[in-house]
This record gives sequence, structure tokens and C-alpha cells, in this order.
Amino acid sequence: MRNRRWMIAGLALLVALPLALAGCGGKGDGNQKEGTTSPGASTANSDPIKLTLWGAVPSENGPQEVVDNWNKQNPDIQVEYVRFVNDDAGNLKLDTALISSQPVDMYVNYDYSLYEKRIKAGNALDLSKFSDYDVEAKMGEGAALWKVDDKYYGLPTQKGLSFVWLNKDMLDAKGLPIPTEWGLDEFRDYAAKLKSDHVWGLAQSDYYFNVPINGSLQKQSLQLTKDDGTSAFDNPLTVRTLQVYSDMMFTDKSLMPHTEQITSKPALDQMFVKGEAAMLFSTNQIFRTTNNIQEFPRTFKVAAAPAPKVNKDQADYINAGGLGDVISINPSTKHQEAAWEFMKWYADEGMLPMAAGGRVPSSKDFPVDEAVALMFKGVEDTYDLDSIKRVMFGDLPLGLSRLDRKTGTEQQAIYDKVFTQKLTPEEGAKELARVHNENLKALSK
Amino acid sequence: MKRQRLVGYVFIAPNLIGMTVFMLVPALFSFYLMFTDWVFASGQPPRFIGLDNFRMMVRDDLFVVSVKNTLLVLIPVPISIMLGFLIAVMLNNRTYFQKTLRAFFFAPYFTSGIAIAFVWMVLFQPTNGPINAFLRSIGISEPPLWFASPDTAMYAVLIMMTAGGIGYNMIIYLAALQELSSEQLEAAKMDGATFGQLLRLIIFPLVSPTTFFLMITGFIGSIKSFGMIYAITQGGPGNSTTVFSIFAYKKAFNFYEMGYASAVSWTMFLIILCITLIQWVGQKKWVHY
Repeated sequence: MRNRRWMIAGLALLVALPLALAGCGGKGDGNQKEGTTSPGASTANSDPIKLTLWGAVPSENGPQEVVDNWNKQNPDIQVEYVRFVNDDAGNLKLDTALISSQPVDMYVNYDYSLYEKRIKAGNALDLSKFSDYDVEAKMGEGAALWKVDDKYYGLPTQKGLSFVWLNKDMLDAKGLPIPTEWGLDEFRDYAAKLKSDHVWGLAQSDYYFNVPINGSLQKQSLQLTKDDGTSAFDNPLTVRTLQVYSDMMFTDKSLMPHTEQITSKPALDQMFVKGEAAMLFSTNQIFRTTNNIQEFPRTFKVAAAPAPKVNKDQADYINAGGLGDVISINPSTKHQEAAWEFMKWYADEGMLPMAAGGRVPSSKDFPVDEAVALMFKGVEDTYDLDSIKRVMFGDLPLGLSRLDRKTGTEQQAIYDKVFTQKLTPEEGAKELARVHNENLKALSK
Repeated sequence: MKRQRLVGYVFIAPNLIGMTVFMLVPALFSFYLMFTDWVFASGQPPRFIGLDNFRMMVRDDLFVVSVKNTLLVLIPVPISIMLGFLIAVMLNNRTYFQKTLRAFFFAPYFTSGIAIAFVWMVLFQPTNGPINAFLRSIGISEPPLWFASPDTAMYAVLIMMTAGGIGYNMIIYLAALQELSSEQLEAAKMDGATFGQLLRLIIFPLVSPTTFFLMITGFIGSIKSFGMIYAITQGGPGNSTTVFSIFAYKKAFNFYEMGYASAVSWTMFLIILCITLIQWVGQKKWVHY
């Protein structure tokens, strides 16, 4: 009898403990713990400060070299790099680490909605406490897109945009010039002309249909809404985008049908370097593959074109991307100043090893020529440098979608239905708006 | 005696502690969470909302789709049990390559589910996959798109799950068949029973406890199925393969809606419990111990 009582009491305690932890674990009050140590404080005792930086780039693609360089120059502040994969599971791992007091001193955000969520949860430090670095003066106007409540909670360190990778040899063979500006009609025409028996005219990362769609809406609102606050997705440009892509898949057969791609999971970057796709709509992450000619040998030159607008003459089109790789400081870190020192160094000079993987530093103080030289080191002859530089370092109007993550995920099912012809493009546009409106309503409660 | 009991507890302590910390406590915690609107990593503590999660669930179109799909994934269970039984009967008799064939049929069970899923993904590839190549070769010009179409993705999943269950069922049946007394079978043969009658009227009833065990575990496993489906389709295309577990997973780990996801998980538990109880009651009619 007594044993049973003990057992019940023990069980109750075991249940109460996680509940209590959940209650106290959240930082709902938004109070940020102040750092207790300044960068120099560690020199008083001989133990160096240890900082942990979480990022999604594989460590061998630059981050390890970055932290090694820093650690050599700063024996009193040692940084360790931890990689998380930038997908749902990886971001969950980071968010869990942030709320469970695991060692995360700094972390990189790649997505606005997650960044905003982390700020609201009190997991990103308000950087206005540091007055020795003018973010906008350094990074340009694009940085302001990462402001929340008019404050920076992270440092946007790179210029990352979506663009179209081109197999220049295939374009030359068909007498096609490298596009400097184009709409979906030209895009479709190129794909149709470039396709052959064993070559797709175009391959593109999952759900890239939203690039022209969202790019047509961002000028109006970063939340992709109309003036009255309702969803802007249901418009002729969305319908047109869905129609063109549908035609590419089912009429021209120049693009692998979308659902076949997501269920077959081909490695698009490898398809491109193997010459199985003439064009690839993606981001600078493909540099990891195109620069790696030992593992992925290729004989053709790589060129680049900007992302297509819906209509070539569209004046209000905003290119997807803008500044990214936003590094935030965990307010729980005891070494906020040390983390800040590392971030400034990283943004202004330290991220050079990341350039080989195609990351373009956003700070105006960064020696861009050095970064470009490193980006193409030893492979200069395999690129059409003029077009690459025009796209990557050009003056395209850049934006940053603030579409909430839930809408983005739920819209994927609608794209699936449009590109299996279960919904017409018109119905698809209406559905995209309906899902968006439902979530807008839920968020406003 | 007391000391002996204590020693016993010490022996089971590692398992008991692991079970308590990693299963019982999270389960009880999720029981509490289903009555809250807790969003993970939001910085807000759980807020009690009573049965609101369940009200939301019945109005959620995707929940309805996931219920329908979860009921569909029960179909492979009896089919793979029947096939497992027939193969076990065949391999229980003296045949050429008996051991090789047993290993061949059992291989999918001890191989990683994700690896098997990827094999099926290649087999069912619409453009270059061997299954569609075969279908084209026999004159079907527009073969199904399998995983790549909302119309056929669930059928592809059902085929994959049926095939996946055969090996395990076969091994369990083989063990059961080797326990059968040869006298009963000999007697039936002497009375003139055909092979079909022997199977239907003698062998199958004799192994009914095994069938019952496989039905219970098979249904539970099917309702909980997640990995193989998620690896290929993530519940798509167009949510056509979203089953309970994928629905709960997305709510929990894509949207961090832990309260809602807990409600879905406990609903799944109740459905499994109901199905198991129905089977338990129903066994009196057909299971012979």
C-alpha cells in the first residue's frame, strides 16, 4: 500500500517536472538575460571564452576554415561551428537547442518567418545595444528588410538571390544569347528549344514557381497582401505563371513534371553539371557543385541569367532573395560582446572562405574582389564571368518575402494539384489566396 | 523474499527508468498538452483551451483526409497476412532453394524501411522506372504515375506496404507451422482431404492464434506507419498520402503546434485502441487455442 503511494507520488513528480520546465522554459516575458562577461574578461583568467555558432552550410564548404582563422587570431575567444540542416527537422533542432539552454551562442537564420518567430520567443538579441556598427551603412538598404519593430536582431551577411544557371555551350549550339532580362514566355521558349531526348530544357528547385508569383506581389506588400490586408495571390500574374509552368510540363515537356520530381528526388545540381538539364533555376548554393570539377567534371561553360519576371516588361517585379545569412545572438549567452566581435569580423572580412561556395558578402567593407577571385579560383575558364557577375553583383531590385511559413507549406499542396492538372491555373490562384487568407485570419486573432 | 524482490527491481530498473523517462512521461505530458494551445518555441507557456483542439480537428479538411488515408493503409494487413501464410505453407514443405527463398522473402523485414522506400521509389518512377517500362512493353501507353499523382500515390503506398509485411508474416507463420502436429494433418489426408481443404479447414484454423497476433500487430503498425511514406511523398502530392502520423508530425514539427498535434496523436491512440478491442472481442469467434 505504502509502496503504491510512493509510486504514485513519484509518477506525479515526473509529470510535474517537464510541465514546470515548459512553464519556465519559455521566455515569454521577452526579458533578455544580460551578458555577464565582456570579451576581454577571459584574459583575467586563463580560460578562453568558448562560443558556438550554428549554421546550415556544411563545415567543409567554408565555415570550418572561418572559425579556424578566427581561433588562430583570437586565442581568448574560441568559436566552434555546429551544422544544422536548413530544413524543418534541422530548424526544429536549432529551436529546441535555443529553448533548452544547449550551447548556442550565435546562429544563422535563412528564413524570415523563422527569424521573426525566434525574435518573438525572445531567442534573438536586440542588436541596438551595440552602437559601434551601422548595419544599413555597411549592408545597404536591403538590410532594413530584416528589421523587426524597427530593430535589428541579426546581421545580414550575404547577398543571396535566386537566378537561372545556364549551360552556355547548349545555348551557343542553338544560337541563343544569354538573357539579361526576360519574362516567362522567353523562359519557356528557351526551355523548349534547349530540350532534347536526354536533356530537360529546365530543372528547378522544388516549388520555385513561387519566385515569379511572389516577386510580382512584393512591391505591393512584403506580406503578399492587398491594400485591404487580404491575400494578393488571386491575380492574373499568378494564373499566368501557373499556366506557363503547366504548359512547360505537359505541352512542351521541357520541364520534368513537378510531382514526378518531388517523388523521384533527382539531384538537380548534378543533373545540371552532367548536362542532363540545360538550365537550372536555383540559388548560389549550386557553386558548391559547379566549382567542384574534380568530383563533378564538366566540359561546358556555366553562365547565369536573372530570374524570369512574369512579363518581360513588368516594372514592379522584385527579385527573390536580397540579403540573407542573418546571424543572431542568443540572449542567453554569457558572452554577448564576444559574439558581437566575432559577427562584425565575420561580416567585414572573416567570411572570405565562404565565397568559394558562392556566398557574396553584403558588407561594403568586404574586399569583394578577393571574394570573387576565391569564388572562381582555378575554375575561371569554366564560367562566363560577365554574365555571372552581372547577375550576382548587379543592381536588381531585391526583396524578401514575409509570407508566413505555414502558408508557404500549405500552398505546396496546391502547387501539387495544379501541376497534376487536378486544378486549373485559375482555381489554383484562388486556392493559394484562400489558404493565405485563412492563415492571415488565424494570425490576426 | 524482500531482498529478492529488490534484486528483481534492480534488474528491471534500467528498462523501467528508460521507459518512464522516454515514453511514459512524454505520453502523459502530451495528454496534458492536448487541452492547451501550446506552440513550441513561441516563448509562451501552454494555455488551457479545453476541447478546442478537437473542435478544430473535426473542422480540419486535412484531418478528414488523413483519417480516410489511415483507414486505407489497413487494407495491406490482411492481404500481406494471407500472402505470408501461403508462402510459409509453400516454404514449409521440401522445396528447392528453401533457405534462400526464406531469406529472400524475409530480407525486406530486416532491411531499413527507408532503404526499401527508396527502392520502391525507383521501381515506381513514372518515366524511367522498370514497372512502367514493363507496362509500356505490354501495350499500356499511359501507365500510372504512381507516387507522382494524387490519384495513384495511395495505391503505390498500399502495394509497398503489402510487400513490406509479407516477410515478417511468413517467418511467424513458418514458426507456427512447424509446431503443428503431423498426426492431424496425416489423419485429414487419409480421410481424403484435398490440399485446398487441408489449408482452409485444418491448417488455417490451427494457426489462428498466430493470425490473430499478426492482425493486432499489423493494424497497430499500419495505423502508426510513417517513415516509408514520409521518405517518398512527405504526405503528398496534394496531401493524397497524408496519414494520421504524418498529419500529427507536420502539425508538431513543421508548424510547432504541439497542443493540436498532441490531440491528433491521442485520437490516433483511441482509434488504435478501439480497433484492437474490436479484434479482441471478435477473436472468440474464429481463434482456436
